[in-house]
Order: sequence, then C-alpha cells, then structure tokens
Amino acid sequence: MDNNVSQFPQNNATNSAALPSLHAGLRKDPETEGGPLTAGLAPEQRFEIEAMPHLRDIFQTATRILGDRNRAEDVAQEVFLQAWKSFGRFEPGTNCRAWLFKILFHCVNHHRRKWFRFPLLKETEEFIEANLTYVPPIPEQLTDEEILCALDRIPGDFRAVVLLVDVEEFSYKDAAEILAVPIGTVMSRLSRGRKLLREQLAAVAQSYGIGKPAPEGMQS
Amino acid sequence: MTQTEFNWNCETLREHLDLYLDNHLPADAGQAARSHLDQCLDCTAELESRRMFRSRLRNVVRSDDTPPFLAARIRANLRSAQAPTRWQRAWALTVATVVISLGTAIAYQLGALRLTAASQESYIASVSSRIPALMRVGLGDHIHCSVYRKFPKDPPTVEELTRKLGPEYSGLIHILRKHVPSEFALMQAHQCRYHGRRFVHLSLKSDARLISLVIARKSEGESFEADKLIPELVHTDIPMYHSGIQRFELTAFETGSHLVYLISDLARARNNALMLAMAPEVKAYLSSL
Ligand SMILES: [Zn+2]
Repeated sequence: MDNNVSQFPQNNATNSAALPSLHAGLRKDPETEGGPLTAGLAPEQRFEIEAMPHLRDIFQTATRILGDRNRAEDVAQEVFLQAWKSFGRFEPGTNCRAWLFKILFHCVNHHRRKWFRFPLLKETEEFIEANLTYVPPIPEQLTDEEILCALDRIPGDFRAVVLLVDVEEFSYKDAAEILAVPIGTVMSRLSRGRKLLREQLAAVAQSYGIGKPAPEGMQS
Repeated sequence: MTQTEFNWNCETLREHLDLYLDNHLPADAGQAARSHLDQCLDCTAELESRRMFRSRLRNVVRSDDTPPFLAARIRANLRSAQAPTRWQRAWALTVATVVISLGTAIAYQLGALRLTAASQESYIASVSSRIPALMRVGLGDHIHCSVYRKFPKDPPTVEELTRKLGPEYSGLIHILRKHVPSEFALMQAHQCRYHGRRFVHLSLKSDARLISLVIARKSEGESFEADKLIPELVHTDIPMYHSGIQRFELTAFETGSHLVYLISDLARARNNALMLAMAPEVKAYLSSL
C-alpha cells in the first residue's frame, strides 16, 4: 500500500478503480452545465467545454489544500486525467464542477498520508476543542499574504470545507458530496474552520500591532 | 407566528450569524434574525464584516493564476490516454454514419472553429498577434497549410512526396523521418506560398497531433537575433527561439539565409527537443544548397 502512495503521481490504476460512483448524488445544474447543448459533440469537445474551464478553480483549491504549487500542478493533472478516463460515465447535465472537485479530494485523500500538512482530523480535534471558546473579530487591515498564511495554518479538514463553501461557493450538500462526509460534518467543520481562521487572523494582526486589543485574560 | 421561539440576543445571533449569511437558517429563525439585525447596529456591523471578509478571502485565493502550459500539459495527457471505454462504441457509430473528414482532431485543435476562409484568416490573425513578428511567419503557414488541410486517409509514398517537394529539398524528408517518432506519418511535403511568401513545408500527423517543419528564405535584414528575441535554449551551438500560443508550440532557429520553424501541438519540451535534435542536420543541409 505504501508503495503505491510513494509512486505518486503515476499510480492512476488504483484510483480509477474507485471512481465509478463519484458523480452519484451531485446535483444537476442546468444553468451552468452543457446538457443538451453539448450532447451531440465528440467527447473531446464536451470535455473541453464542460471540464477544462474549471482547471483554474481546481488548481487554486489544490494549492491551498496542499500548500505547494508544484504538488498542486501534479494533482490537477491527475484530476483531469481521472476525469477524462471516467468521463464516459459522467452524466451530461450533472454538475461537472462539483464532480471535478470530488475527484480532487479523492486524489488528495489517496495521497494524504504523505502530506504532513494535511493531518488527519483526530490529531487536531483536541487542539480545536480547547481553542474555540472565544471568537475574535476579524481584523480590518490584512494583506493578501496574511490571509493566505492564516488559511494555510488551519488544519486541512477544516480548510477544505472553508475553501469549498466560502471560496468556491458550493452548497453544504455539494460540499458533503465532494468530501464524502455527512452534511452535519460539513456544518460543524465549517463553523469550526471559520472560527479557527479568525483566530489565526487575529493572531497575525496582533503580531503586527494592528488588531483590536484581545479581551481580558488573553493579553500577555 | 413562531417569532417567540427565536428571540435572538446579540450573543445567540452571533453564534448563528454564519448560518444566516449562508441562508441556512430555517425560515422563521431567519425572519427573527432579520428583525434583530434591523435594530442592532453592532450585529449589523459584524454581519457586514463577515460578509466582506468572505469576499476578500474569495478574491485572494482566486487571484492565483494557473501556471502557463498546465492546460496544455493536461490536454497532452488526455490525448495520450485511452479514450473512455464506453465511448468506443459511440465513436464507431459516429464514424459509420457521418463521414469525419479532416479529422475531429483538427476541429478539436481549433476549438470547433468553422473552417471558412474568413474565419481562418481571422483565427490566424488573432493567434499570431500575440507572438513576435518573425515567429508569426512560420505559424501562419502552419495553420493555413497544415491545420486547415484535409489530408488523405493514407500517407503518400516517399516517391510522391519527393516529386511534390522537388529534388532540391528532398533531403529534408530523410532528416524528418530519422528524428520524428514513428507514430507520425509524413502527410505532406511541398513548396507553398502564403501571404506573398514562399515556404518549404513538411507536415506530419499522428492520431491527434500535427507537426510542421516550415522553412522560409530570409528577406533583407530579417533575423531573430536582430529582432532581439531571447533564445529559449542557450546551451546549444544553434540558438533556439520559442513561442507558444494556445495549443501551438514553435521552436525556431536561423541560418545565414533561412528561418526554420518546428511547429506542433506537442508539449513545449518535446517540441524543443525534437527541433534541437534535427537542427544541426537541417542547418547543414540548407547551407549545402
Ligand atoms: Zn445584536
């Protein structure tokens, strides 16, 4: 098993075996998806029209999940190759963007043991429970780098839901489908993820002396 | 109604403010939240702050551009991967009922562009406008003469190709066959004219990819070096220039009298490597003319 993992990104065979059910449950999205419009086209053309436009979103999310643009490039290539291989089973009119994100997280999960920046949830749970009592306000002056840095510091499972819902604007239901977790899990991770992000932001802002003062007991 | 059930105070509302922002509060709870927000400046300010941060976060994450050539690399991966199995039957059916001339590959390359003369010219113009003038020379002929060409189903014989190309340049056929992978068949070798300029042009084709070797005689004063193009590959005896636009990769070099282009929809590195391998022989051949 570990051998497989270390062969990334060539070990596509293992992944594609688990892919058939990936699009099950994803909402149809007639507004943005091809449906009848692209139904008569060759697969290459349909893929070009329905899947390729989402490359940028996939790459950006992969970069934030993995914290590394090179790795994100590899994973984006893997995602689109997997998508192409199972595109024959992709139902026209299904939400193609959500389907691609589902494949993205499938690929990420498959390799996550290698990536220490994406720790398993149980390792981080205690840390979170201990830190969620106070929710600081969002500092007003933040640079792009500070925002990204704060985002990168929150544990991967929480970062994933924040990215899917707040950045990529997926519904809770689609996010649950993409991550293959119950909707309740999405909601609780989202709520914690947002609070953690604000904590990180407040910490960043405080270290620059621009944040509002912390409440009593938190000042040093 | 059920308003009494949801008597939000500031503390309880803040706990649910994100849900409210996501439109995920039950209708009556949302209603109650709105009435609290109507009267509470603090909570309204907090709501605004969260809304603004969310859109800021969105903008920051989404401002990251994809690396150049990632899309091209993905398309290259797809082309070399097997077509999805369930389609193979669908493909066969399509082929049986519709005569696919000119190849879906080419329609795909051009993003389903219609092949009228006018759109061809405007396509060439739009693609070419973003690369250096001296690189356009080769690209225009490639698109005009190879991409839009209906190649015969079977490749011509070497004798036919030699006859069309003329004895003067026939040595190029041998050089190409030696260096280009065998899945590419030499489909065309001729001297052609495009926009008032004469070219020696050889085209090769695989299932879905096209390669052109395009050679033009230099006009007075024409030179990549004089145009201050920066060579892509510098650790070589022959400086190699590169341009990429959409799906086309161009690698070029110059001799005293010729501009030589290799243009394809291969990956950039492969196109460069192929040209690098052929360049010394092509250069020697041209100078022996
Ligand atoms: Zn209030």
